[in-house]
Formats: sequence, C-alpha cells, structure tokens
Amino acid sequence: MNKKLKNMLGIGIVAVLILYLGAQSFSNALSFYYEVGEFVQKADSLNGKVVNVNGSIVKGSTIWEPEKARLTFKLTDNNASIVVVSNEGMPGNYKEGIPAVVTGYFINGTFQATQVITKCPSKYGGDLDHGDHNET
Amino acid sequence: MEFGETALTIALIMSIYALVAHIIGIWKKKDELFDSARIAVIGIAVLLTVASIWLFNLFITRNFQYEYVAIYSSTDLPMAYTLSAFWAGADGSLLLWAWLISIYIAIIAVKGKSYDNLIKHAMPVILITLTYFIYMLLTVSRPFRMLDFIPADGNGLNPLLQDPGMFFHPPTLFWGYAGVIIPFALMIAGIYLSDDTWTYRARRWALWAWLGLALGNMFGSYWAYTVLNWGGFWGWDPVENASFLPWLTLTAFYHSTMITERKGGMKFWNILLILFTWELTVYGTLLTRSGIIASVHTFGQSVTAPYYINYMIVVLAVTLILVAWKYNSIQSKKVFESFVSREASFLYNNWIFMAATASVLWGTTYPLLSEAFRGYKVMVGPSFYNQVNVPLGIALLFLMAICPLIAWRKASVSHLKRNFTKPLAAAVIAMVIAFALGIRDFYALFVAVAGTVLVVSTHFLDISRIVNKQKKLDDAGALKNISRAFWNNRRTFGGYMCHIAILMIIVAAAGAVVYEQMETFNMKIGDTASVGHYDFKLIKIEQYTKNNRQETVALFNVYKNGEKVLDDAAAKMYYYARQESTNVKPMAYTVGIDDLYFSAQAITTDHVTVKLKVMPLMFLMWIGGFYVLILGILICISTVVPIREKRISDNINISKNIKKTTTEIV
Repeated sequence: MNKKLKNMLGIGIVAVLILYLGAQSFSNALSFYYEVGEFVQKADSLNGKVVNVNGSIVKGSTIWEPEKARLTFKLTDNNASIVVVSNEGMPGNYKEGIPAVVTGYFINGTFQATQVITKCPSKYGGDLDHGDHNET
Repeated sequence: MEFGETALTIALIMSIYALVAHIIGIWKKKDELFDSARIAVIGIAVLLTVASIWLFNLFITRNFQYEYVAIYSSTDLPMAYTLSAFWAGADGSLLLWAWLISIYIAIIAVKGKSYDNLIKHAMPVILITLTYFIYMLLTVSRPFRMLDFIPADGNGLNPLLQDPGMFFHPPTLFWGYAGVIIPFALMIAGIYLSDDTWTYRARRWALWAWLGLALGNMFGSYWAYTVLNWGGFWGWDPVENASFLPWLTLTAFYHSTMITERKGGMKFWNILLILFTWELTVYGTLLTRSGIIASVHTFGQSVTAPYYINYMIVVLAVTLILVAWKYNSIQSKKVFESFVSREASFLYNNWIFMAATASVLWGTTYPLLSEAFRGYKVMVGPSFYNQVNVPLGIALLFLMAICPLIAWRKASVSHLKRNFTKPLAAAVIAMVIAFALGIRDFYALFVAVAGTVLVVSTHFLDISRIVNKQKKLDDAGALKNISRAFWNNRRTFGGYMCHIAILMIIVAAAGAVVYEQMETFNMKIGDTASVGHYDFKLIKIEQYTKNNRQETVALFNVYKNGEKVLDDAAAKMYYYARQESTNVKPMAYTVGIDDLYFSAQAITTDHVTVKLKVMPLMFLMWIGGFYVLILGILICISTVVPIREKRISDNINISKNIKKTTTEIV
C-alpha cells in the first residue's frame, strides 16, 4: 500500500468515525415535540422519555412556591390539558395565558419539566410575524 | 407619500439606475456611465441614511401611528431601548442591513481609484440585492407602514431585549451580515472574469465582516449570560446557531486564502466557502426574522420567508451556472505535496470548520425538514452539538498549536523533532504539575493545561524567531527589534492574537463547565450559604422602581476564607407592569479568577430563593472575545497583502487586465 493510500485511508477512517459518533449523538439528542392533545394520547407509551410539549398556560392555574422555587401550572391546547411541575424557578417572561413549550417527562400523572420556555408574542414582530424564540 | 417611504422609493429608483448603468457601461464599454452610477450609489447611501434617521426620529418622538413603532416601543420605555427598538423587529433589521450595505458600497464608490474592472462587475451583484431589499422594505417588510388610527400607547419592548447587550448585538451582527455581500459579489465577478485575484480583494472586507460577526456572537453570548436565567453562555439555540454558521465558514475562508496566497490553488474551495457564507447569512436572517423556526406550518403566514428563500435559490443557481460555465478557469494546480505540512494543516483546519458547519446546520435544519417531510416535530438538544463540536474544537486547538512551527511543503521527521520537542516537553511537564496539584479532569488536563502550554509555546517560539530575524537584519536594541518585528509582521502577530483569543475562549468554556459549582438555597436575612470556597451572607432585601420596572433586590456580602471579597452583591428580579411579566435578572461578579453568578428564583420581603454559582475562568472568555480577538482582527485588517503575479500564474484563461501587479485596494 503506498503512502498516499495509507493517508487517505487514515483520513477516511477518522471521517467515518466522526460521522458515526455524530449520528449516534444525534439520535440521542433528538426529542419529540407535541401539542398537548397529541401528548395526552401518547403519554403512556412514552415511558418517561424526554419530550417537548407546546400549549398555553391556563389562566388562574399557577401555583408558585418561592421557598422551593417550584412552579406548578396547567398547559392546554383546548383539546386537553396537563399539569406541569418545574423546580427550575420562575422562567423569564412567565405570564398566564401565553404560549409555552415545556421540556421534560411524564410521571405519576404530572409533567415534570426540566425547562419551561415561554413564547413571547412581541419578540419578533407582534402581530406582524410569528417568531417566538426565547433567545437572541 | 410617507416621508420614509419616499426616501426608500427614490433610493430604489437610484439603485435600479446604478444597476442598469453598470450593466450598459460594461456591455458598451462606456466609462462615463460608471461615474454617474457611482454618484447614484453614494445617493442610495444618503437616502437610506435619511430613512434610518427618520425611523430613529419616529421612535424618539414616539409616533405610534407607525405600526412598527407601536409594536416595539411604548411611552414608558427608556430612551436608550427606544433607540434599540429600531432593530427589534424584522422590518427595522432589514432596513439596518440595507443601510449598512449602502454605506459599504458608497465607501467603494467614493474611492474612485479602486473602481476597476473587478469592482465594476461586482457592483451589479450588490445592487441587485440592495434593490431587492429596498423593494421588500416598500412592500412586504414595511417599517414605515402607518395605521389608520393613533394608538394611545405602544406594546412596549420585550423585557428580555431591554438590556445593553441588545443595543450592540444586532448592529454588530448586521455589520457582519452586510459585509459578507462584498466578498460574495467579488467572487461572482471573479468567476465571470476568470480573475482569481478576487480572494485578495475580498480579504479585508471578509475580515471586516468577520469582525462584525465575531462581535455579534460575543455580544449575543454575553447577553445570554447576563440576561437569560440559565447561567450559560451558549445554548445552541437555532437563533444563536444562525449567527455562528457564517462565522465558521468565513473563518475557514480566511485560512484557505492563505494557502492561495502562498501556493495558488484552492480556487473552487474558496468559491464554495464564500457561497456558503452568503447563503448562510441569508439563511440566518430567514431563521431569525421570519418565524420559520416556530413551525414550518407558520410558513404560510410569514410574508417575508418566501422572499428570502427565493433569493437563496437564485444565488445558488447563478453561482453554480457560472461555475459550470467557467469551469476551466477554476481548475487549480496541485497544492499539497505532503499530508504533514503547513498547507495541509490549513486544509485540516478547513475540514474541521466545515464539519462543525455541517453539524450545526444539520441540527438547526433537521427539525424543519422533519416537520415538512415526515409530518412530526422534533427538537435537537444541545448534547448533539456538544458531542460533535467539542472533539472538533479540541482537534482545532492542537492544530492551532502545530501551525506556527510546521514547515511549508513537507515537514521532515527531523524538522518535527527540532521544532516540537520543547513545546511538547513543556506541555507534559505542565500536565504533571497540574496532576500533582489535584487536577484530574480530562478536559482540564489535556485541553486547558496541555493545549494552552502547547499553543502559547509554539506561538511564542515563532514570534521569537521573527524577532531574531529582525535582529540579524538590523539590530537596534531589544525593544526596537520587537516593535519593528511586530510592525513588519503585523498580519502574523494579529493572526496569533486571534489564536490566543480563541484559546482563551476554549479554556474559559472548559473551566466554567468542568469546575462549575452550583447550589440553590432558600435563605432568610442574616443566613449564610456556602458554595466552593465562598460564603454568601444575605444582608438585606430592597424594592424600588427604576424606569419602567420594579426591581426587587437581595443583597449579599461575600467572603472567601473569612475575608470579605464583595459588598452588596445583588440577586435581582424585575417586574414590568406593562407586560405583567416577572423576569429574573442574573448578575455575575468577577472575584479573582472566579465568576460568582447570582440568579434569584424568588424574593419575598424577608426570604430569597437563589441559585448561586461559582464559575472559574469565565473572565477569560470576555477578555479574549472582546479585546484580544478584536485587536487581533484590527491588526490584520491594517495590513495590505500585495497580489503577486507569479502566484496567480497558474491561471488558464486569465484575462489580460489583471495580469499587472496590483494591490488589494478595494
């Protein structure tokens, strides 16, 4: 085997390895994204898998326990609703009645959220367009 | 007609005129047409400046009859944020982008001497884009749209955007975004004319754009750190990725052009990199400014998204057709003689940047593809980006350590031994010392300690060589030798400063992530909590109104080993009555090498629930990213690289007009 071929082979192996690791970590990092109604139908089959659920925060449903930094609220999409519990403190721009995406898993009838991202209608253009990100 | 739209309409007419004048001027070879076209180009900049000042004025006077002003500001919004509301939305951002592009091309037009054939062919590309943007500003993305009633007050600005970071982040990013079009236009002109000196001409503009993108990313990161309540500096959010992608490809381009200068070649690769950079810039705007990330199903509701997508398709198609047409002149000679050489290290660098770009682009785009083609929505978590990009970053770090000392063409074994024995020995010794001092973590040992020592020592060795050369040439005393060596090799020194800055950012990230200590406490006034070597004593809780918000502040005294290191360090929460929104305002204080990070979860009259973090080395990220990197880039921009005829001699169809030796005077 000549030197050039050896080098190419080496580079090829590294490239395949990177691709394999990339594909592996990609499938682990992938999480599904549901509306509340869809999630309720599938909740039992998810077996505690981490998912994202999109809905609106129900007015009057918030229980805030500052000493535990625990936030409990209901999330709905008008078809169904779920109870969400977060121990991560008060998320930025939290307000009842606005849309939110919660990330976490379903356990004992409640959604344990590791992240609550509130969607802010004014962020990228209010009534003009529909951006909704919580960053930049 | 409304004043702002009148200015935009005249700018649109002038832009079309300048475009037509350029095309006819090139076609009929009429030089006098270019003179009037240049005046029109300057006119566009003046008119877009007038339109932009008018928009600022509308915000300052709080003219809520303008829909854009009503959506993004309110009577109680402090003046600084009222000004920054200019770029809070899609319409203002597009105006800012167009305005900056017009200023850049006016600068080129003013400098008549550099208005040569390449520029004459590049200008239509920029003018088509600018015309398109101005057309969008007048039709689908109208910052000057008026309501048929006058609201009593506006909606107000999103509280998260009411931060000094947002004053600087979008303008710097758009300074970069606007700058990218010039290398792109020069590239198109270069392909058309079979003139591969476009890479030289594009170099300073590419650096200028790179500076803007670097600053934009750093301001974005600093804003995330000090505003978003998760204590991180980079979350791989699609919006962050959008600004990171063109930075990656532009970094690759700058390294690739160095091989071109030295050895010729890389013609097709350079074209690809600049094509990617401009496409990713537009893609970034599409992602962040059209709402497409939320869901591709809102795509139908987004008015501007199809405009950006159509533009991207046209750019891709035109470039590919041109490349196919001029395929013969894009052929490069063989550049690489060995896989172990300076040029090969640049090539690996490019591969790493492209691998990072591909992974980030894939992670950002996959959710859109999944929803569009498979019907279900997914999210890609940060773990994917970290698992792919951390190893790539480490590889880049070691490449950075190798590049200053490795030989061009082919590095022999004896050369490698001669150059790398000392730095490697230093790195091993440093690791042993670090191990003895108790550092056990892989990233801390191999990345932070060994990587730092290797990078710093190889860069130092090369600098000492340059200084010694200067000494041999004309010994004028140590200080003068150093300053002369610096002045004569500004580009190398500037580049090395950028390397050191990137090293500082990597080390800061490793330090903060590996050695971060965090705990959440529920405390009453007088209580003390401990994290790491620090004791935090809650002194008092205050509440007051400041500008348009109510601030609730818990104040701490901080002690290290019994000695007071901080007085009245604050954990804050803001309440904005207009938005009925409570926001945590995280605060970071630098004490020695540590950042102390306070993030209040809840504050009552006598209690606070607070997340306290100790993050070592974070200060390096800001010093490296804001000062060292910027200074390094500015030093690089200050240099002019001569275009050497012999290095472009491998052209096949090189046109006569560029055979003369010129310099990059764009």
